[in-house]
Amino acid sequence: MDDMAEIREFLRKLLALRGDRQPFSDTSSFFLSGRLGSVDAVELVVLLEERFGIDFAEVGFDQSNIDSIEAIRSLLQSVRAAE
Amino acid sequence: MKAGIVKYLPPSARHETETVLRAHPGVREAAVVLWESEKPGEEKLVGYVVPDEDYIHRVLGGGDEERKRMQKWRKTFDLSQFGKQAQHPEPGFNIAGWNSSYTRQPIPAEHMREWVDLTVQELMNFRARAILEIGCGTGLLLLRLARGCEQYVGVDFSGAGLKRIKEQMQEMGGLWNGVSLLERSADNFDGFAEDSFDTVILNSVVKYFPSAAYLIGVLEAALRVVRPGGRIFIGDVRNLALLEPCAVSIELYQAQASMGVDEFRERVHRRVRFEEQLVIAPAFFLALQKRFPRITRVEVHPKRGRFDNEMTRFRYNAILHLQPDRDGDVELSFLDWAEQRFGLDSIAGVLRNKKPESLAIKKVANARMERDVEALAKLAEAESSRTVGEFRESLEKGEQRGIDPEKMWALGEELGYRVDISWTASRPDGSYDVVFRTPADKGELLRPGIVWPQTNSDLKEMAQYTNIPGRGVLREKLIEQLREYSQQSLPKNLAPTLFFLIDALPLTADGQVDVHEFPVPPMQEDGA
Repeated sequence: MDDMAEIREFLRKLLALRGDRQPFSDTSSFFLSGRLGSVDAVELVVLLEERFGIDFAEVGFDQSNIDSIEAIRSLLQSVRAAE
Repeated sequence: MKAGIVKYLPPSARHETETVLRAHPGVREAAVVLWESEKPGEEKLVGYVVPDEDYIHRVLGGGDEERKRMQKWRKTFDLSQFGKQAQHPEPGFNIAGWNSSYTRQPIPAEHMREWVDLTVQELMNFRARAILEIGCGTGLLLLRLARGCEQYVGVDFSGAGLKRIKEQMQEMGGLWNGVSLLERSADNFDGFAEDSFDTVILNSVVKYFPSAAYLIGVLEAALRVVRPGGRIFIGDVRNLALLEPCAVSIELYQAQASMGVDEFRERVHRRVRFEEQLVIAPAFFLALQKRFPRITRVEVHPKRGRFDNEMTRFRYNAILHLQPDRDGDVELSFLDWAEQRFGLDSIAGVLRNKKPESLAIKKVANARMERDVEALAKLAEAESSRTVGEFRESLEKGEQRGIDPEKMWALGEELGYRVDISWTASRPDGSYDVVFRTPADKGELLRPGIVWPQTNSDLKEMAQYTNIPGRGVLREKLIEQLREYSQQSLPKNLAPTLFFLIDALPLTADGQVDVHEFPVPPMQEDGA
């Protein structure tokens, strides 16, 4: 499974645990739209830290940077470019 | 959405499926129904399960889950301190992470300033010398109060927040004698001697506690470290009696005008069901007093403040006093606000003309959230064919009759009365009780308490006074388990693809399961 597919699957499960089984696209908003809450944001952050080595203490945290698949993709790209 | 038609499974298949489902430890009762949509061949096997609540809370949501929830909140705070907003705050006023539930944007600084100022003012009245603050966050209270104390211990589980406090202390300069900061969880009282503080503060933090049991444990420990004559201040508590009006209020703000009323109702329902924070009825603290006699008096009052926001609408401060030798509470006869047809002017008139020593009024309608309470009531009756836009319009016609509690406080100030306002009655309409007394200037610590109107606070279990944070997620976890379990334990055609958790199996008059009373599944969705 490629990185983005893994992240999509992770988000699908987070949504399912909130009883949300509606589909989402790469630009669907998760947090700013309220589909997911701040505790879910932490789950995603932990995945990004542990699985993809992002250190938010260093790069700074802004919820809009993880709000959609598209946003996460560019976050990963910018962090990798900086490495 | 088309309703499905019930199609019966062969009795043997139904029996097999239900027997397997009932064998799952999270299931008390189960029934399966085959639904068919109007489109031929489209069928859906649905499991209706009465869950074992004990399994949900102890197995799925037990100790490990509680610890995990705490860790997630800690991380949430750490993250809020990694953003731009936290980098160079005005010293003593780091409000990074304080976002509005309505706009999901930072709460305006002037609202936060009022919130901090009024909380600090209230705490200063106690003239505390030794304070333990559990959950000192970014130091909003600590940096204002610590210099007036001999000792101030700030505890927080977020290291990132404590680091920000230290930076601000340096920037503000001067000596910070007697201040110590400890990175630890709220239930860790190691090294705190009995009777060693006169005030324990838990401000805007108990909402992050994972359960009522955890809160009781922390308060029990806090009661031991407070010396007689002291108090525990639990600030900015979200009111369980108003959880639903609060959900309606936020969803009504966010919903598109074109949204249908049914979807809107579902959103409100979901917001309540998936509430992640601990929300507490004021009556919880009265019940706590019965359990811990060391508490001699309980005060619960709505937040002060002129700004309209979720804190002033839906939150309160609770103060648990430990004053063994004080005079008894005063018994007053409360006039009923609605029966007396009181308004702010008539109250002012009574105080001005008759100059009574005291005036006590109960059940004053509360202007702050009156609209939200009304919206909740009207939503239950709103027709499905209507839109949120139309629903909003129907609300605007309503007349406001309540009084903002802040106006009562202001009136007292103007006329030389001390004003006490109470929410101890925990009414679901947000109404409050108010007492005007003279003289206004009697010291905070000397004034006698008041016997407030109370609702019945004799629920057997303390846990009934709070919600269960994350309850919705735990129920969804059971559904996920049931889905996997039935796929493994049943032939493919007998494994339900969709589950509903219900309170009880609906029965017909002769005691048979009444399939027509089950919630109807959506047929278009693929159920995956």
